[in-house]
Amino acid sequence: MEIRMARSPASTHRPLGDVDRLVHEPARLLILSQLYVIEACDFLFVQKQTGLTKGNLSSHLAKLEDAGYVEIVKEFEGKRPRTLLRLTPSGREAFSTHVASLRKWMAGVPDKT
Amino acid sequence: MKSVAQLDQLEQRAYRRVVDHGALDVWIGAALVTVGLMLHADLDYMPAIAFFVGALAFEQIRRRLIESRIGHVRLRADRMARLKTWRWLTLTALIVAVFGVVALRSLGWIDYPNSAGPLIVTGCLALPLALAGGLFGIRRWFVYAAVVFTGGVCEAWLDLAYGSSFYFSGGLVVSAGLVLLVRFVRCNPSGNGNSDGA
Repeated sequence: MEIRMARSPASTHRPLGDVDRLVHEPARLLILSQLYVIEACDFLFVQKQTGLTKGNLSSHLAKLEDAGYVEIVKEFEGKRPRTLLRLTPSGREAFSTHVASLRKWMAGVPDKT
Repeated sequence: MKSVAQLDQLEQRAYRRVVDHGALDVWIGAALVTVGLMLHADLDYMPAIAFFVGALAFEQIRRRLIESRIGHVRLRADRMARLKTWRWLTLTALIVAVFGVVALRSLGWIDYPNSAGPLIVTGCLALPLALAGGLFGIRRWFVYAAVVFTGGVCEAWLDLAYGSSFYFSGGLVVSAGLVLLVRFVRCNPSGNGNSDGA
């Protein structure tokens, strides 16, 4: 009997070409899409909207900040500190480009019959 | 983790989180009750006091009860500009309506037992309310406007005490607002108050 090895999911994936993998990661995509539709917000708002844990969100934000996609500004409202998150122009550009790439990528997918 | 929704839905959801939590409903309902008091007990200065007290209370509720639960958000510049315009438009309509009612009253046009009085008064307040509902995209405010005007019709028809329909409609709006606010508070439990993630 011939035993066929299961192919790993990764090997079945075609390369995504020019898709930005930093943006493509689901949690980061969720964060970026959330920040894309507003001007700015604090950490709590993104956390509530995305459902990510505090640690997870912090690590993703750090990566996005390192890439220059997200700007993290500390400010005070009275005596209370507030960390505002906002997309930088390059972050906005990266997100739009990613969405355009995905659309292009999906254009070849036939409709469900 | 929630799935990535369409961007416009995300924006709409962020907007609704900022404006649609029930606190505005409580404020509107309280304002209606004070209008009832003004008409019923001849306290013409009541709406002005109620407006400032209500504005201060609303700001505190927004900061302590709402922002501490959902976080702080600055909407897109175009949405904020529209929101500001709508706010001023509604406020102006409301001020014109309230002072219009006071002016009409002082002219004796809508004094009891003039049967058209309650219809004019409730119509003057129902219109800005419906306008605000349309501009802010909160459909239940249309229902509130209908309730306010229906109260005026009932007041005129049943010869109820002048302004008494506002106790009913205002009470109803306050109750609806409180239900929404309680639901909002339950659905959005407060964190540790640290909104900066540090």
